[in-house]
Amino acid sequence: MKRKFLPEDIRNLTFLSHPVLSADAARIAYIARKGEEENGLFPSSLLVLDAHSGQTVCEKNDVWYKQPYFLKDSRFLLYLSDRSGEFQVWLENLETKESTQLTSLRHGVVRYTVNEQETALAFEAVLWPEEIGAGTAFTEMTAEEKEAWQDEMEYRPYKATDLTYKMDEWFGMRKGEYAHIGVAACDSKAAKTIPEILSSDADNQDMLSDHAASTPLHQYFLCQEKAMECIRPSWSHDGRTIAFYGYPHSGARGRQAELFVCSSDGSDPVQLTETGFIYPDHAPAFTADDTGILCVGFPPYEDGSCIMLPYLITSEKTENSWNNITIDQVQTCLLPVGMTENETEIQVCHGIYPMVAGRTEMGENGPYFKLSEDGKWIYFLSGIDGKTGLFCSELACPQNTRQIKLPGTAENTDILAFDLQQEDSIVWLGADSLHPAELFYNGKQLTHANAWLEECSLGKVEEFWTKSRDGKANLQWFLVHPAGEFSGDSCSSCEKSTSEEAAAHSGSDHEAAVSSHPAVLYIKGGPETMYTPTFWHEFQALAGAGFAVIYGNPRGSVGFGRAFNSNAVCWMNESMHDLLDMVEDAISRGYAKRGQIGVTGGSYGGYMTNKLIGRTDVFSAAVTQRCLANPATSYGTGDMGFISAREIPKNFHMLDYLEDRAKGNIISYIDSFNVPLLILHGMKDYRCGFEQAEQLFVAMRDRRPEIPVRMVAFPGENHNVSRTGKLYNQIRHVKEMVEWFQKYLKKDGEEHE
Amino acid sequence: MSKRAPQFEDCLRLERFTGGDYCEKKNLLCYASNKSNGIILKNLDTKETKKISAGGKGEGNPAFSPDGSQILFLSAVQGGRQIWLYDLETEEIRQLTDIRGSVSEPLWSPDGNWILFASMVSQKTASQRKYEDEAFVIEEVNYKFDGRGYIPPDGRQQLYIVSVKDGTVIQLTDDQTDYMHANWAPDSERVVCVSDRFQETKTTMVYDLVMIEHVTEQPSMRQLTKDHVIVSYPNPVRPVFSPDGKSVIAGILDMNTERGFSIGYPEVYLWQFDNMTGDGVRIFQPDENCYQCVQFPYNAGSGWGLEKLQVSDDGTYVYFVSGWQGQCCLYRLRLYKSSGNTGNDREYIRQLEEYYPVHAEKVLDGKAVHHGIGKIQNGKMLIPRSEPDMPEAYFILDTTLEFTSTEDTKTEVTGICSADTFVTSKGARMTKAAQSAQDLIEEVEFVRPDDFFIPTLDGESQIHGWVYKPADIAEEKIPAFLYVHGGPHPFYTYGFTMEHQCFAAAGFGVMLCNPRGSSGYGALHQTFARSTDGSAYYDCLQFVEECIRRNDWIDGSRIGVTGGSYGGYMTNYMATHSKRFNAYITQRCVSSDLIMYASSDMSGSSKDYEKFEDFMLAQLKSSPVSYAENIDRPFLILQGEEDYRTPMENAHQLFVAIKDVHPELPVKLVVYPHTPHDQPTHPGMMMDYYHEMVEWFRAYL
Repeated sequence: MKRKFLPEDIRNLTFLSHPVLSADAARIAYIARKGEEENGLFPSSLLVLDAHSGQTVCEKNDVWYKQPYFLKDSRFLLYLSDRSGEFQVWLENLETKESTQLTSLRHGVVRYTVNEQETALAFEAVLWPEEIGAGTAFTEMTAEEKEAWQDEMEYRPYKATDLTYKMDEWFGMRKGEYAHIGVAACDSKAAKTIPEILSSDADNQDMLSDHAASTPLHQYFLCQEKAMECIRPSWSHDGRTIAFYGYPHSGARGRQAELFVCSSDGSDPVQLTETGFIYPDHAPAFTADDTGILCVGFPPYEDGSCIMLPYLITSEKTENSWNNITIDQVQTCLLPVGMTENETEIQVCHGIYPMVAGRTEMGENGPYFKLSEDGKWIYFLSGIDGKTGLFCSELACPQNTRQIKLPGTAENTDILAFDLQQEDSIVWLGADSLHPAELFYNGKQLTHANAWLEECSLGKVEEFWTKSRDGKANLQWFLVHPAGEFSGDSCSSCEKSTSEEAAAHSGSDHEAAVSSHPAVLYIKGGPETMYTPTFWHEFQALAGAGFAVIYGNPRGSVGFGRAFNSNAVCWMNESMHDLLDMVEDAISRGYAKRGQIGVTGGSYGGYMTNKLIGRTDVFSAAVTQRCLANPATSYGTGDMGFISAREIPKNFHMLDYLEDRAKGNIISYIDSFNVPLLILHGMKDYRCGFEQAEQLFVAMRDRRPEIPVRMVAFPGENHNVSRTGKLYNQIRHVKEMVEWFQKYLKKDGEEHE
Repeated sequence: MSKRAPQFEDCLRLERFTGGDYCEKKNLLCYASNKSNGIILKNLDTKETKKISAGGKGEGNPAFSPDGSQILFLSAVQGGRQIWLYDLETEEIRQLTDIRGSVSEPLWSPDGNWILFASMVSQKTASQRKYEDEAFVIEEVNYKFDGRGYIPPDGRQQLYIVSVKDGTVIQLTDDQTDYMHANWAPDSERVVCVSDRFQETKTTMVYDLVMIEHVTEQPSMRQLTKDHVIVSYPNPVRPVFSPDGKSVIAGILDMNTERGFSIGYPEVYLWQFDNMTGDGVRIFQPDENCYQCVQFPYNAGSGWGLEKLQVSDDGTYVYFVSGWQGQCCLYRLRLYKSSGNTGNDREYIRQLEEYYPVHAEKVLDGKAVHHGIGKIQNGKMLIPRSEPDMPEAYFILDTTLEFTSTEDTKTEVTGICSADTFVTSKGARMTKAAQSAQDLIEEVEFVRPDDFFIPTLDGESQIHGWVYKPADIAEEKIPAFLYVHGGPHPFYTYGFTMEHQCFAAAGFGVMLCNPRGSSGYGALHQTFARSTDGSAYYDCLQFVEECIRRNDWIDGSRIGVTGGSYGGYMTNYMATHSKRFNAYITQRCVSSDLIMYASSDMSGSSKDYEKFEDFMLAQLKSSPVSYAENIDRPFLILQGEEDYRTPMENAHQLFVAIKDVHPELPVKLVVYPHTPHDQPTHPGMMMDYYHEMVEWFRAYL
């Protein structure tokens, strides 16, 4: 008999990321991460496979590795490694195993990209501006120096004079550091191209003595004139121009990125956009003829609907110069998504890369869009109706958008990352409801990183649709059945149906057996995200403990068209009713029973959890994770939501504003919170600040002392505690949730505690 | 050679005594300071000194054994602080304890065989925490405390005794409750302490007296008092046994005068409790001369590591310190002398009830601060004393001379600290035993502030305050700022305050006052409601105008305001309600009562509201941040990252609110890591802190 999947099994999971395919389609490199008991970190190792045989060419896990990149000659691989102490770019000849360090940034490189000529790489690095002035930016500190520096930094105050001074991603405030961009270029005297460095002799090395000793490249920074954070440099095909994102704004717009270009020597920086809606998560990309730059953004729709779209910024380019173009000169959206009469909404996919909530993943990936070599097509990850996939769109004719059928994948296969050379040589990370991501090449599964899961009995996932009570929306929801062994003899069909394709169960067969299990409604964060039928260890931990899990895409989710996620329905009653409708549907199908249903969710899901237990009596226990609880205190303590993002009305009174946030919202219903409540929160959460958890906890003890309440606070963890937190904290986080429901959700025949 | 003016770097050099003890039998003093790197043993007859050290860090808490043959002290040679013993005869030192964690508050048993101490790491339960960053489980509201941080399940303060002979350690308490302010009974068999072990809900405010018996054999614990609130935070008093061992004397919050904490901070009176039944009698009768039995000086600048309550060795008097009009005075009460064996407990209490309450008599006063009392031996005791222009000195007070308790005098005696010996207005003799910061005193000219009283506008009380004038005034008129103290319960004193001296030397007039809400001026003045209903606000404004009127060197058009904690609240209140000031610096402030409700370690209560939403709206109405649109002058916010009293969220919300609605206004937030509800003590950050303040006022005043 198979064993249960437990929260502790997070330690057994291997997380794959960042697959890359060499230009000759001969080799594949990717990153694998796995938790380490000792320090709770997830070390990151590099693997290189032969694409055709699947044989391992190289496996490196002595230090941490990130961001593999093949040069045109696929014997040469670049990567980031912290072998020297900080993450630097390294070049390795996979055949001779020779390697050399290419950068020597004081605090390492965040990311890098190589020009097509393979003569230079552009990098992004976080530095304190005074380090550049002091000339120490290209020298790593020795271990002793670093210790002294860290001690000093530990006691350096944080200082802020403008609004966007703290971010959850930074674990709060910074101490003066920000991202800079620069170039590390071959010195023609030593080597003309990067791969030549490995064969260049010692005489040539000597000629580089004016550079930092540890690297044979000439390193310099770009665009230092303005003290502006710059990120994600990207080369033009001719190698003469670098596009990047900068943060030129102050006030509430401080974290709005704009597109810039400069010459590869750093001269002539020009701001190309003034949109404020660029989403700088992936580097801009030049079109094949260097006349356009592709980037993605969330257009500021009036209705607040949220869809990430690819944009083409083009110039009337003369003489290879971007200097003369004016801001906002030409912007073309590459996917039609209109809601007006003369625009049709594309039905193939929901923008680019709808953010998937609730799946087992960790680690950086390459870009989620890539231009074909001839520059005519854009390949990108996207999704619709709760399913993800690889899509492509014709730049000249965006209406011509289609999903690419990946060989050997089922309808429910979840695509997490991809790389391709031609449409017939595609590498991807694919997952499904019973399997976390594994590496596939042209339909062949190359890895079995999580084969150990075979020993576990998992909960199978079934998809349902129901009509919203206002009749305006079709709601997709999924049921994770309790894991096999809990179904016992009366549910033998569960044990039999092992093939993924047979995952769909018929409700009536299971009604009697399944409804004896308590159920948990698990609400996702966002709300501008999409749940899919993919593997998520948190669902499986609940299924393993004998719970059915109800999860779905209420209004506010992406992947179901723009009207479905306009602001009007996210934060009002529609989405709350949608969730209740899903629960009703589950009850009517016999998968859940009144009095035996719990509710949980993180972030927006935590907000919704709080809202549901304050206003309904459907649920019997609740676990609220990294929640929003009191908007009157979240203003200014979290990292988002400024009044001046819009025009401040005349006679504005802060008291009115804060009162509006306090009235009729979440915690104001505390007197009707009637169910045992567990609060899970990271103490360095700066999205929904830790004080939100304290508001809820103290108010519960103050107003509802007879209701069991427990708060578990995770030191050093931010809003991502359950996604990228320390291994032991991730396990604890899931374990606390499961045990709370075990304690307070009654099973048939049991008395309530 | 003329002395120079102080500068902020002197704060790093300033020596502060951290504790000391006097041995009357041998006329020896032992003491430690932040600069002493060990214990200084001083023969007060020969003036010879000797340093005792185990070579560890944080050496302090020296105390003579009852027979005067040994000195105990704490030293952190490896890991936490442990008890070390020094033998005065052999001059050898030895380590007595080797516990996990750190020893604090060591106390000799009266028979000298045991040492009582406290530690915040339980020795019995194995640590449940494997990682420093592992989760905290929180089920009660007292889960964090400023200065201690988040308290792990086995991180409460427990009590121990250790045998002086062989180092055997006995753990007296072991659960998830704090046991504080413990003290020995004369029989060396019992220990009394303060704890909420027997309280159903933990509030960080309501504590009982708890008696632990048979400590050297089979420790057993019982709740001694049930219906009294023992004073703990913020001005704790260690309970003491009467020398006959029959009773315990402790400071009790007088819950009758005001309706609990939400309305005001109650006065503290001394009570005497029968140590068997826990029945008690209030022994102190408040009067104009002395209206409560504790003091909460905001800037005492002295008295660290010393007790605030002592019983004389012959059992005649109980001594305590109490504040009055900016002075920190020493008082005593004559105790009831039991007429032999009373036989039954009821009879004993009856006798006490017959005798008490009694009025206190003043022993020491003057424009000075006395904020501690050493053990009383044959009428002599160690007393710390500081004055506005003179850092702390240790004196030996001799009350055996002709002590005449005559009329209370307000005779001003200045510059007394420089005298090695003087006779007080009561006829007792004070003899200086040790002076702190001698190097700075010889090098630096400290100024003495003027102080004055003015009646409040409503005639209800009077405002007392001080003005520091720089020794050299560069311009004809210079800017000045009001510095509002925290609390609002504490009061500014005549104590030495380096920060005020440095700001004056930096070219600012520094104005300090004790507005309504401050203690030390009578019950009416300290009414909590007066600190937030506008009375204190107008007191401050009135005081500023009076300072300008009296001091023509102050430029009335260049006035700033700053303050910490309640002073930060008041700064925020001024900025949102007044146009009087030209620049603001708010320190560890309260900006939102709603944030304070849940995120302060002194979390609030919404019990007076039927609907929680109404409570929230009321909190918003009383919060300065709700009026952020009114702030129109440069505003600097200084905050400790690990402040759990007025947590950082106050600073964050205030900064964002001001900057959000006033994009052009200079607004700055500086957050100091590893800093609790205080100014930073880390040297680099302390200098940065004062630099930020001085530069802000220089730029905008």
